[in-house]
Amino acid sequence: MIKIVFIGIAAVFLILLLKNAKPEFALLLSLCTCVVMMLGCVGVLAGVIDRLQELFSYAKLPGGYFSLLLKILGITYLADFGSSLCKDAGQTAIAAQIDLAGRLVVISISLPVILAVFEELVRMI
Amino acid sequence: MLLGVCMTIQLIFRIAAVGILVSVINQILKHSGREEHAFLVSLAGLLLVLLWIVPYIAELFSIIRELFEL
Repeated sequence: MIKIVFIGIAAVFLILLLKNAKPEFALLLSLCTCVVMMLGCVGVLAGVIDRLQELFSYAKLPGGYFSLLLKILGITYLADFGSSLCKDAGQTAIAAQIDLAGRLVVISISLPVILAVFEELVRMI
Repeated sequence: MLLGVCMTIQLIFRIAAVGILVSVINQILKHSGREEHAFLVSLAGLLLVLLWIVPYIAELFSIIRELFEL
């Protein structure tokens, strides 16, 4: 954990140094820092996902729902990663497009689940 | 895993070093009047840094894909 914080702070100073001289290098540096920090905490993420898998197995839900949740989690993370990077670079329009694309993909994935819920409701009434 | 504690900080410092070097060289080239060389040098620096970063990005995306079953 400390390693990640130190990497972040060191990178912020270097980015400030490079900001006015070479803005593109500042962006590259921030991209590289995000990637490195995420690689740092991926191990912890894998552990959390395995625990959640066990938790979900107790619920005896049909198998597809947990992997659907994971997929949606991954898509929102990637969309947020891309859009915040574009916002850093000042391109808010592109960031908004990436957000929109992320939402569309999430909706398209979760539609079958919504339909299943409604069918269940109709059958109950 | 490409990742090690010293690997990551060293990578970040290398990128910052290339950035500073390129900006210094650009200043020198600008003052000596050769504008297009300055642009070429900054382009080369950019490509070099991209060359270093791409394997890390590829590894991150493959890990994310395999972890979230995307």
